[in-house]
Amino acid sequence: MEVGIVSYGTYFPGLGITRSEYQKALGNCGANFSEKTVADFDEDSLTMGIAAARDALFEGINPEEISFLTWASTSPPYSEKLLSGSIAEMLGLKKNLFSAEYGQSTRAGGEAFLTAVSLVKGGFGQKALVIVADAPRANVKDPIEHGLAAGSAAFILGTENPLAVVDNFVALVQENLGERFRKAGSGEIKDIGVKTFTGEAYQKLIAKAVTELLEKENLKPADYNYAVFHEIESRLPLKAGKKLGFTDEQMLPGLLYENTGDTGAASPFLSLAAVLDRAKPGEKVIVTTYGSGAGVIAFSLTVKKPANRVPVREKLASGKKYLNFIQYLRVKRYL
Amino acid sequence: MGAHISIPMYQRAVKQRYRLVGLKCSNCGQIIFPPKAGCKSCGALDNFTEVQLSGRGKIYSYTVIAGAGAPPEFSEEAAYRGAYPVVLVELEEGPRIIAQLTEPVPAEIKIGMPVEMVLRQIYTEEDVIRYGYKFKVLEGEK
Ligand SMILES: [Zn+2]
Repeated sequence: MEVGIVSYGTYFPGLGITRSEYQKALGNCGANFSEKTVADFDEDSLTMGIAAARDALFEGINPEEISFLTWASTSPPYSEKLLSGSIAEMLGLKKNLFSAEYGQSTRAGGEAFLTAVSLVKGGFGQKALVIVADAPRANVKDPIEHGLAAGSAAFILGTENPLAVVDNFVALVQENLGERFRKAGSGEIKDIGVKTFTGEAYQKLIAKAVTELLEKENLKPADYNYAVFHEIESRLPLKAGKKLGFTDEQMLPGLLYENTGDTGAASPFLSLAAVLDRAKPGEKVIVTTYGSGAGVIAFSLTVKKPANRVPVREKLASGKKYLNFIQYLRVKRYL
Repeated sequence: MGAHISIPMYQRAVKQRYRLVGLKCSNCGQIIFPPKAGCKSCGALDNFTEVQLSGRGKIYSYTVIAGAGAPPEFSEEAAYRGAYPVVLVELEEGPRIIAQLTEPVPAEIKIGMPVEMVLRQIYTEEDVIRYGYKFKVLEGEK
């Protein structure tokens, strides 16, 4: 049975800040974006996730048909409290649904997505809703904070008339110390600040997963039309992709960091949405999700029909309110 | 707004607060939101059915609340925002409701602007986040 994406939705907050605001205020900026998204004072990963899910549940999809709900975020509004009941009530889903909530790393979205694929594939229900939403935080004095942004994506998975079907996947884990982490009880991510060390871990693990996926599928990089490499920062994804033999043409459509910053777990799924916005039937997509510590889930899809959604890039370009640095500190409750 | 609402009371109304579920009077067809004990149109006291409202509407009127005028549970957000707009929205099904407007707020708020419901944190009390509806001005109308 072919399981695929029957609908998807995306959301970015209406606030933004430019890199030059950081430079003006701090003299430098530790992240390489031109502007990034900022969640408003009254927003969190849950409200953003609901916005994306409502976008995905557009006319024609009955929320009552959803049997599975998977949620992913490294920044849930509560460290402990089930969110599925809130989500079901906020969206009008039926209450007898299986749900799973992930968030141990930015790979959480890959975990939520593949869990949902498996459940639908298993024939235990008709449709699944996957919500990936993130707005990670760090100490504002730590350069790791500078890239952190906010966004969300949601996917309805099913077997009838999908936009894109999931072909295969590879998942890998390995011990990796000191890369992006958040101790229990802390709301702020940090790392040991050794970029070359963590950058290498990312590149190696992603390369291994993609190579295995290509072998499994008996395909070459050139057989794919689009490749999404999880944008944990600005330069690594392109570097990792190039090393594997992917071209700018395959990768640029999925690169959003320049205009979003680091959207955490949501990043590869916003990129996937940006690719689906323009993909044509028959085209193939490879997606990698990365979690520090570390693990990769890579999966591949074949596009079945055009999407006809408001494109991610159009949403990013539309009327944002830009904050100055003081306003940014206040909206993030750093002040 | 402004009065303390206990968690059990808040929870009883999550359907209306989270996604605008209203009532329809089976006697006269009137849509009632927020749900009340009786129909103000025909006086019926029973035979109501739940209806999911669309969340779309128009700005019927608005006012700007100065930070200092905000009720205590909103004080943290009011301190951040300074003055913020509160709108009376006329929903497309008829009822009028009061809610905050979300960013980006248009430079000039106009009566009749189309708006759509969004879910946001309304306030936090006893460490429990109270989610509910606010409205955003629809794209192209800013
Ligand atoms: Zn009536």
